[in-house]
Amino acid sequence: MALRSVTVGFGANGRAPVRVLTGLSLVVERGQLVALVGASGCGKTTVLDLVAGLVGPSSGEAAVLGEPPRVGRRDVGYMFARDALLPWRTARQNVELGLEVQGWGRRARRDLAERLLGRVDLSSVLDRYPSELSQGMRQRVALARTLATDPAVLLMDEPFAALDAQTRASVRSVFLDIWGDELDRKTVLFVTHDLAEALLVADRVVVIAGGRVQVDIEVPWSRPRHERSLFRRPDYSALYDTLHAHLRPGT
Amino acid sequence: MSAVDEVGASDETSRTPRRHGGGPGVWLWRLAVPPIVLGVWQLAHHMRLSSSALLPSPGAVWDATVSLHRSGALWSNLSSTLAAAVGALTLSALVGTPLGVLLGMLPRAWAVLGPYLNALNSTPRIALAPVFVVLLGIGQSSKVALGFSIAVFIFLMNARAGVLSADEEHRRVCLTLGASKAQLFWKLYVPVALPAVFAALRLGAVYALLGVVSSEILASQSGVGQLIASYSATLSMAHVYSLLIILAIFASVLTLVLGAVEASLLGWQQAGRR
Repeated sequence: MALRSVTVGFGANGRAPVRVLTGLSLVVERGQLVALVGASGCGKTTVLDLVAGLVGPSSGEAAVLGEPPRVGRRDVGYMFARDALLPWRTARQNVELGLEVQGWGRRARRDLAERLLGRVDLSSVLDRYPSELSQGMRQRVALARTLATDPAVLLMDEPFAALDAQTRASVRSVFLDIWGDELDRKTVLFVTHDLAEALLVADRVVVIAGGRVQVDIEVPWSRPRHERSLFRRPDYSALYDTLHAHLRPGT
Repeated sequence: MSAVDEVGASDETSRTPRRHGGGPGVWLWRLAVPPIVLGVWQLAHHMRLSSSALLPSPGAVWDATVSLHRSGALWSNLSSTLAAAVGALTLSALVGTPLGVLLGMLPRAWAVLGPYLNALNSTPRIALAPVFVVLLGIGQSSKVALGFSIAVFIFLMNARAGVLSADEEHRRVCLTLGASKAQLFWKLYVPVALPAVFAALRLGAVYALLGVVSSEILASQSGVGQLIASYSATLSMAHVYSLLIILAIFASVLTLVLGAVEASLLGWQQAGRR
């Protein structure tokens, strides 16, 4: 995935466009999990929207798996901050949505949806509606829905931000288990405002500020990483502080 | 925490307000209304608050109902009216719903057509009854046409409003999963619009019936409206009130049936309220 000197601006009613990204460049290797961190409004979600083809660049070049971004590509999956489950569909039917769109047969859809919901520990609520599920369960259904179409690139926009700390740790661990188990790991762009979470999950942490990449650091620790042991490492605090310094406005 | 423990634990669910639409108390009050109305009516008649020609006693209306039943006029005309009303309602739903969904999906088309549709909707359709009679004859077709011309706008407007209420995140999810325009129509916008369409169905049933009866009053070979017109002309108000009450009962039964169908088809809404 490669973004080269990309600029994205939004404008309406003839007013001058507000530039959200200003010449941002970012290259992500296949199979990497890259965390994008930054203050609110810095353009993290716009990077994901750009890769998903939901917005276009006003200048610069973007390529995903060698092709320009286009909305609805089968090799790109997008998990939003809100679960955005369709309320009239059961958990299983929500997971089946992308497969239906791709024209899968009924039996094959059901089997895959059941298997994925099993992987996120939701086998007992296949036929429940979203309104009957807790926020953590809904987010796990959304994760299963995103994974169902087996995209090679996964875009995750603060996927666990709406959860309480305990549920967040649990859902995050489910996601990392699934991602880590794959032979051909997915390329993941993971947006978060939580620096500690970024250091826990990512291979690389990219700090965005002022519409461009400010810092791009490889996370030096091997997986699996455990929160408590990670936080006790002396080099953790140093890396955290370095990144945190770049998050402040004006840096 | 196990999956089962978490079910129903969502804050959203617990915050959902209780609906006060049923319960034995409400049904008791509902059943008490007719005897109270009949009592007041009988009292008004007894005190001669109006001439007995204009306000016959409840007993006289009952006698008129029995005579209508015995003569056979009631059921043949009622079935003609109800058939036309159901026809108008079905046609309105089949035409108005997809049109409304499409107009919700295509804001540019609405920007062009919206003012004309609103203008058309605000015209008194009863004025078109002679046109329908001339075009379609004095039979069922002209009655259906008038009912349709009123009810179709209810479906169109409600379906469009339903589509506009669609969550932008839901649309983005469908788009990123690769949904085509046709798939957006069937998998997102039609289900989103369904609750509003059911509201239209209940309202449309009443308006379709009103359109059909109005058409029958103006010109028709059969129907409750035609009976009402002929009894009104001879000031047989007991018969007129009898027919109006029967129409009201059938309209209520129809809306109750539609409500039950809605509850069974939109189970996901009830699930969130349990």
